[in-house]
Amino acid sequence: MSEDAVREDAGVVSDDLRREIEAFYRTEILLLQGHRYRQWLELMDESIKYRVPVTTSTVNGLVAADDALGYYDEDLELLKARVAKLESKQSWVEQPTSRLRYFIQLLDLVHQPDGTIAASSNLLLYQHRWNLDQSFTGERNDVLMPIPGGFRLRSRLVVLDRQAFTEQGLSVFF
Amino acid sequence: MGERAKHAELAGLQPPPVPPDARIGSFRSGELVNADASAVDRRLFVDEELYRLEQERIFAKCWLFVGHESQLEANGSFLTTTMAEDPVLVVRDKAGKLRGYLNSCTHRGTKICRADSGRSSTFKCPYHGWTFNSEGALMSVPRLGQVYGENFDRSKHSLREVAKIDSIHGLIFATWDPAAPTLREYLGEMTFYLDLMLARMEGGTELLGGLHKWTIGVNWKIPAENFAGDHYHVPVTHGAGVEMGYRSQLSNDGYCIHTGNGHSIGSERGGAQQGHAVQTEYKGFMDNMRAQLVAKYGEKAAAFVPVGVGTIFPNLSFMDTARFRTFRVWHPRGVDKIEIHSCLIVDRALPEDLKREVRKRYSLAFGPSGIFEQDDGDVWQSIQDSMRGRIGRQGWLNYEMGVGREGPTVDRYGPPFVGSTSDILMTEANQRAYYRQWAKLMTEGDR
Ligand code: FES
Ligand SMILES: [Fe+2]
Repeated sequence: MSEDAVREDAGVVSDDLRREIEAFYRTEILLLQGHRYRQWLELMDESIKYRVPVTTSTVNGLVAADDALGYYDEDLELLKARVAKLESKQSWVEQPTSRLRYFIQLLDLVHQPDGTIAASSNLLLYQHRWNLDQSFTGERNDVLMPIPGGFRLRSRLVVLDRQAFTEQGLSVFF
Repeated sequence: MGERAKHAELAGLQPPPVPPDARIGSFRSGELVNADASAVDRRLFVDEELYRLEQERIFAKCWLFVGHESQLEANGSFLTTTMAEDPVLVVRDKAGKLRGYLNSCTHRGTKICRADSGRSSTFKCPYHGWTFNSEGALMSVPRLGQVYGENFDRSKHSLREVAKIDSIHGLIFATWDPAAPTLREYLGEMTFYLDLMLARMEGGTELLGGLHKWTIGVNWKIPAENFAGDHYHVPVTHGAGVEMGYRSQLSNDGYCIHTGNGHSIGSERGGAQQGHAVQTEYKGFMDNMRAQLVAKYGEKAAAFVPVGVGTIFPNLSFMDTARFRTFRVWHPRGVDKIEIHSCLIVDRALPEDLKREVRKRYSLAFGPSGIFEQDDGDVWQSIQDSMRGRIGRQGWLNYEMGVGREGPTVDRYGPPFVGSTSDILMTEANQRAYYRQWAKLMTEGDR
């Protein structure tokens, strides 16, 4: 048994796999920054759970409860509805189109018993709009499903670091 | 009904015409709002003096929404929010009674509670340690005898408590004004429509999953009047929602009802947010509720499930649709900024998995990322931006749409439907009623 295989058994991913996953995220960043949301949807698994919950301030800091409302709380049908809306010429929130800059820092990759990979990362997103600039930071927890030649996103949970965190309207994906 | 009787009845439903020569601080009322409020001066939205007067004459007097009873189920539970700019702590005390306090220590003013919600029987100030209980009493003072001597009277330093607090269908309201009418008197005939909206099922309602919070750089009255009756903006601002199948093209068939004291509702026939996309079982539930109402009051009653969109004066708005029901407060944060707290209110008796689906439909459409609401924010912010300058603050905004088309609701829909209504959906009758109520309260202090 090679050393890599031993490490995989312990849940740690090989360097090759890490490079493939990094490539997946680079592709995703290019699609998001380019507002190419139709193609971005193609990265989603049929059973995608895409969640960005609201947080509550408690004595223990910001908490995102499992059953909290979402800023985003989507399955594939709802994600498609959002993309259809953003594609409309009457989607005023993105007129003019905002400039987006995603900085994704991979932190940890772990093999899951079901063959998927849990990927956690830090997210920093800078948005310039016609009437304001704002940035978002948070932690992202993804589950990636390997497919021939790449991956599909099975689930995403993003917990943002601010509470009353956005101005005007929110038109970006995390 | 004769013209005269009709007039008298309508007058009872309307805030009084704005007198031209009453004072509103250093302004003459007639230079700010014309008699029927079909013209409103731009300074209402940008003037600092008016904003300060609003704090005194509107927000310190009116009943304001502070939360939902389902957030305070257990004795000793609390939540924090604001009444206009004043931070408040709302608790269910040891005896189970709802109470509200200024979230500010009576020693030096520090906030005694920093969390949004939780459970605690005491609140210890982080500055010098004065500690209050859920009855608002000052329980302990560090080194009391040593530093204050024997004569210090703790009972004189209780938390500042709201004058009145009450709830209706789980919605909790409070007021700082001891002379305020009861909550039900304040809500007046709006109570009837709240009954229709919030008492559909046995077991009451609950607030599900916390709050959406975000900010918009706009005066608080702009979103409040929008929810009161701006159906005219829907086909334009929310045109994308039609294109992607979420809702049908807006018709002009519906009602805009004003129920007195500045409170309003309005709905397209069949309810806002009609359309085929992303439906759930909730629709079936609403169809069922509609059938029950029709059985009770006749065919025309079908128009009232869902009730639609509305504003309870001054800054609580709601939207009851075929997919979900949201309530939200437009908290003023200065003359040119609001913080929005928006929530989802569901009937407790709905099946849990349907509640989850309804929750998703709400955040898809409303809240900061909602595919409808995301387009309102920039429009509203740009209103503020264009009125803050020397020239931008001059002149009048126009509210003439549908003048003279109002009559008693009962004439169109039969009993028991109360208030005054228009015969078209796209009218600014509710905004006029809103600004007449504004002028009524704002002129009262200077009589
Ligand atoms: S058309 Fe109404 S504000 Fe421009
Ligand atoms: Fe709107």
